[in-house]
Amino acid sequence: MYFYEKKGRYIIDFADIPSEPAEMPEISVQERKHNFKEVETGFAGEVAVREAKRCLSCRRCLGCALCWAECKPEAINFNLPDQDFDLEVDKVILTSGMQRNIAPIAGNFGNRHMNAVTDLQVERMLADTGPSTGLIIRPQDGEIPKKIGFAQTFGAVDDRIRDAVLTFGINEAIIARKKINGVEISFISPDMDAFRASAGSDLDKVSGVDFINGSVVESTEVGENKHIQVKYETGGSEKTDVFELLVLLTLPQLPSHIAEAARQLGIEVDYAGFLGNSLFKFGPEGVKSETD
Amino acid sequence: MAKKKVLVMGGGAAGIRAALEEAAAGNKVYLVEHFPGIGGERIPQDRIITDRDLFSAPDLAAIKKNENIQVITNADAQELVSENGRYKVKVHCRTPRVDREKCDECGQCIKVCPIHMYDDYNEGLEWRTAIDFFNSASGNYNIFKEDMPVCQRTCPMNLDIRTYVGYIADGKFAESLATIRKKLPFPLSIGRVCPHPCESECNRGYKDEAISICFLKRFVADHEINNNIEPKLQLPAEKYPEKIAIIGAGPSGLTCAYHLALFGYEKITVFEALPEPGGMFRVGIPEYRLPKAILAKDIEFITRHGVEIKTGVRVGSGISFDYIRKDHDAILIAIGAHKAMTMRVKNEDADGVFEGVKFLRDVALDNEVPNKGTAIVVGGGNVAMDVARSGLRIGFDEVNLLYRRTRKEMPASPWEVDAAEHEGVKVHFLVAPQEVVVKGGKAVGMKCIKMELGEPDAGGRRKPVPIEGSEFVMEADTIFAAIGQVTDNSLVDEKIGFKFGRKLNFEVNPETFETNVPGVFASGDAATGADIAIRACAGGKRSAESIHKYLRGDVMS
Repeated sequence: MYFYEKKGRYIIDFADIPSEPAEMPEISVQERKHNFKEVETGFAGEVAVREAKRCLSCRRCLGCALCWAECKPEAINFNLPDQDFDLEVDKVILTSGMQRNIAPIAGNFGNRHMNAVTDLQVERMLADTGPSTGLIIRPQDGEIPKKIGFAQTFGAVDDRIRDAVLTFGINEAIIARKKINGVEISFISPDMDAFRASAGSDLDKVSGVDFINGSVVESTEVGENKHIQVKYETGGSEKTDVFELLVLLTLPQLPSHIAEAARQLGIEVDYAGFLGNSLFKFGPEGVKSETD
Repeated sequence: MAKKKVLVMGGGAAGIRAALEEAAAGNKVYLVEHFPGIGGERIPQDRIITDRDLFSAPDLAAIKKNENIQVITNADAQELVSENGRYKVKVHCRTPRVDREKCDECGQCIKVCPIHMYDDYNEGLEWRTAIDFFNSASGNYNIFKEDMPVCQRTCPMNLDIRTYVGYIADGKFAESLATIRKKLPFPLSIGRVCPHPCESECNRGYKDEAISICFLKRFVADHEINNNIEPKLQLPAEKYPEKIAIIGAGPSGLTCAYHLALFGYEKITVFEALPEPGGMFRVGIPEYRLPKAILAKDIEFITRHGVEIKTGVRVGSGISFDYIRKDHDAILIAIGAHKAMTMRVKNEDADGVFEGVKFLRDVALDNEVPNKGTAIVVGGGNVAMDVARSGLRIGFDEVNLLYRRTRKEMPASPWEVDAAEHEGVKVHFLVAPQEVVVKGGKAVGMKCIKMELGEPDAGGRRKPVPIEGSEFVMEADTIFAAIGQVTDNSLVDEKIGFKFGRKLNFEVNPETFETNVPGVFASGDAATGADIAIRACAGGKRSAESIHKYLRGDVMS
């Protein structure tokens, strides 16, 4: 399937380029006692060059004009200008959408594992217009997973955001259950009990999902298939389970362009604000926000 | 009733729903979307779903058919002005570089495009080509030639990271450093102290871990001094006669001075109140993170461009602000935020209680500081970490750091917290100070109370609430308050009429850094409140551009 072919074409593992980032050398804690010597001592030349080679030189159009040569209707015009125009309107509605930043996920969740994906990636997979035309598949081998774990990757947040994320993940689990015959799903969240209290009977109607009030201690890749072994703590004891796919529930943020637009419009807004359907007063009619 | 006009920002499921509703009510709708395509499917986050509503799939066909909806993709609404009950909106539409009237959507261009890049629409599950329709259901063909890669876009100073890292990979260290110095005159210092927001966004992080952008910057800068290479200066031939005063020789002030010199100004004077230049680089960040001799090299590079620094001149006491204003054609105020905020606890003014920033300043200037027994540091930011780590170095036997929330909420960089603990600082989470315990006029400890996290506040952070009856006393010989800094704006007279913000900072136009007083600009912490150094440098560069524009009219070189 093109999905994997394309993925393979992007970041190839070059034998001569390290995958691990270079580590900054430091003087030992003993050497730091009672003096102000610089702690970090800097990269050696060859280390810096190796580290710099890890840069993907993030891509964009180079202007090679292959597409231009190929385009029969001559629609491609590299110098087509930007356009600026004014609109006069009576009402403004600002809607958010979401952005999920994987950077803050702690390492013990295994966000670097091949078969760990984010909840938003699963949303894309489930979409009929998405890259796998509605199938949930393991990024490593394209197989349909028979056992899926969902794990919350963040600690205390605004209850509204927490509930939204858990609902989002549970809905994905429900769709996955419908799409994959006999799939086993575990759903691990340290806030499960609190969520159950606010979701009430709706949660009880969900069948075939094992809801666990617990926190992930660590996750490791096991075996050739790179299944993910998750160690988690629940009710005072530690348990272990192996999943074919691990879905990381991530913290949604306002997309940076919406945050920027809000700033330019002079509105103070966060993701929770959009979830709360709050009304932003702005001028005589007010700027209205709706959740996505 | 006349048809109303509605602007809907955001072409996701909610935006499409809103657009259709407004159109059904008989209104004219403009649907503005940032990305090249609208739509997509969304899983609800507000209710647990039933069989019938698996997705909230937006009705794209209805949008296309509806004559009352105008879809504007690849665009952002900017500058919303309210006027007589209506809004005037400026819309900026980025070029798709594909003429949509001519395009027949054959897809041939996608097949031949050699560039495969991160597919932001599909969360990186796929790779898309640089020419692409973005979203198979609703997208328009467009060529992606963004102005900057993500790292550069994230950097407050928009340093050309891809280029300078690329030069290092090629072994061209001098070219790399010259690329950095086109914008930033402090590569040695920033390469050591920057919390590198660029690295959090680095696309390599999706594969394994981000590139060590910050340390690479340090490497090329170190390479120059370690090998005694003469830095090349790029001074322009055309010179300008105007006199410019910069108050404060910190990251922002000196970056501004550097860029003014690059524009061709020859009469730039930087007034520095302290005996040494460098601002927070010199007296805020401790030696073990940024050695003074290293900082001096960055400053030497700046002064070689013809910038004069007058140290030990405190504007407002030695020399008046009004005098400087009369004597110069433009002024930048870049005095930072060096005044500690108070803990607002009882007996705070007792002997033995110190401002954390003042302690760092005294250590940096070799002034006498307390250094015996045990110390308590109150606060959870990078200043608190610097105070705690310096405290152990200067001679305290034990340093206890109190923070009223948990590790997760700590504003300090996580690696700073780790290093502090590693070196022996005892960090106490969920502990708040209540009262300084005083004996014979001198502080001997802090009465504290344990906290727990309660309901989230307006910013979404869960507010710590005291646990009743959990008070205890922690003994200490010295107590440092490090809970934030404000600007000491007493150098200017009230009569001039400057506007100030919450952190006593000078209010400025965020684009131009101009204050409400003509010809007077402000940048760095003095304008933004305490923030990271690279943002102060970025502000310095922007204010130099604004000062140039102010002095030369609209002609930008």
